[in-house]
Parts: sequence; structure tokens; C-alpha cells
Amino acid sequence: MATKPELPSIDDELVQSRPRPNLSKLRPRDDLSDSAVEANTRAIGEQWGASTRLTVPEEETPLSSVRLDLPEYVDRQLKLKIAQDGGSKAYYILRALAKDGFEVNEKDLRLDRRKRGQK
Amino acid sequence: MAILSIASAKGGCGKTTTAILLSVELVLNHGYRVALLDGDLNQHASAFGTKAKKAGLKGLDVVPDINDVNVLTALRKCEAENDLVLIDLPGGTSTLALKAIQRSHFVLIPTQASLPDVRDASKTIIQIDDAQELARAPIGRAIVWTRILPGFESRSARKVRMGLEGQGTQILSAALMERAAYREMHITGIVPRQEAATNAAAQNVEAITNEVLAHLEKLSEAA
Repeated sequence: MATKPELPSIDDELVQSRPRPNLSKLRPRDDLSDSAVEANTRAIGEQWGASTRLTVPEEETPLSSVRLDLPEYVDRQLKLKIAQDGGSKAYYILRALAKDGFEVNEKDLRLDRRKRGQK
Repeated sequence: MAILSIASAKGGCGKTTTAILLSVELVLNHGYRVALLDGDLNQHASAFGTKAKKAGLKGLDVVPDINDVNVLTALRKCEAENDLVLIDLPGGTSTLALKAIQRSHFVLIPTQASLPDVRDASKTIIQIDDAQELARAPIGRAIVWTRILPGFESRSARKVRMGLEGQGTQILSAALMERAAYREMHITGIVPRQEAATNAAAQNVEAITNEVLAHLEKLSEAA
């Protein structure tokens, strides 16, 4: 006796999707500026412990390129210092200028400016 | 358009699974263009997104590597290009989560029926309240129970569930059940609906999604 073929799937017909809700009145929340969001975040975050990073991302200080000629013996000492302690020529020059009363922001006095966050 | 955050101060409560299932359901069953922003350090949603794309899923854009520095820009870009933007947030209290919540129309808080989950969910609700007050805009929110065992509820789970329900907290009536299909999708990149729309796992997701959409619709009507 021949067996009857299986009936086709009716899965799709059993599922009727509801009409799409109208979400058109929801507008982007950009009436609150990014800086206001940052400030609110810090205000809320201060209440909720250490897992929140509250520091404002630092803006990179614009740099000027300076070419300078140093006596060879000074340059040799600088290279030696850098080899021993790390850092860059710019760091040692900025540190000397700061000691001499020039305004140099602390964030710009990093041993190596290329490594952000290193003091 | 709407922004929907999936958030909880608790880790491991099912945020990523909920975010993926909801996103794909909104694409496949409702025809929305959806972006899912992955703000979790583990990047499991992004891994799913890569597999889902290979498996042929269209209409879902999974954006990896969302952090506290790029989140506001990413939200702006994605909400301009999509009907709905979901963001899978990391556990714990983070600057990323607090920023995303302030830009959200609705926050869904996946919560297991355990005391640590509920404690952390309550913390998240207070943070939403604070964000709402500071942002001076309503932020809808609801808890969705997750990883519920079908056919069995332990004494402690019942105690916790009834305790929270007694507090008057907004809780979805549909809960995300513990199902193998929700684990398999991370391997295959295919959600239960793509296997068969009538299977229990797909219907479970459909019920949750419909409730979330109903909340968004109410917010839209009130706007």
C-alpha cells in the first residue's frame, strides 16, 4: 500500500505578525548636549563607586616642531640620560624650562609623550 | 527611531543574549532596520554579528568596540541610519552605561531570580531615575526575568521574584527561559526564529519583543 506524502509545513501560516508599532514620535535625545551628558555622568558616577571612570578625557596639547642645535657634548649627555632613564629630549628640555619658571602643564611633562597616561 | 539600552549593574545576567535575540527578532519579525552596539568588553554580540552576517542575516548592523569615549558619536550615527538602536552594556557601573542610559528611550534590565541580580538591578533602576532627573526626559525601564528554568521554580527564586514584584517595579510578564537554543546561536550565528518560527524558543523571544515594543509605542504616543 502506498504511503501518503507528508503534508507541507504550515508554520508560516500559523504565525501572524502584529502591525508594526508607530514609533515615529520618538525623537533623538540630542536636546541634551554631549557636555551635559558628561557632567551628568560624573554626577551620578560619583555616587556609585570605583568601577566608574570619571576622568574627563584629556585633550592633546597642540605641538610645535622646533629644531635646535646643541653642543655635541650636551647631546651626548642627553642621549646617555635617555638610555639610562628613558624619556625623550623634549621631556628633559621641558623639565628644565619648567624648573626655570616657564609654564609647562603637568600632563605635558611625561617621560614619553607618545605613551599617554605615563607620568 | 528609538534607542534601547540593555543594562544591569550585574554581570552574567543575560544582557548579551537578550540584546542579540531582541535585535534579530526586531529585524526578522518586524522588518526594522536595527543597529546593535556592542559595549561589552567580551564582545560576544560582535562575534555573533559576524557569524550571523555569514549565515545571511540582513538588516542588522552589529557595531563592535563601543566605549565611553565613542558611545555618544556612535549612537548619533546609528540612530540616523536605523529604526532602532540597541546597546549591549557591560556589567558594573560604568561611564559608558551612564552615558548610554541618558540617551535611551527605554532601558531593559535582564535579571535572574537571585538576590544578587535583583540587588544590582535595583541599583540600575536608581541610576536610571537619576539620569532621567538630570536629563529631564522620561526614560522607560522594565526588568525581564532571564534564565528561568521551564517547569520548575526553586524556593529562593520564588521568594526573590515575589519580593521584587511586590515592590511595584515594572517587570515584563514574559520571561526569557533557559534554553539550549540560546546557547547554540553563539556557535551557529542563527537564532531560534530562523530554525522555525513556531518553536518555543522563538515564541518566547517574540513575546518579550512584543512587550518591549508596546512600551516603546506608549512612550511614542506620550511624546
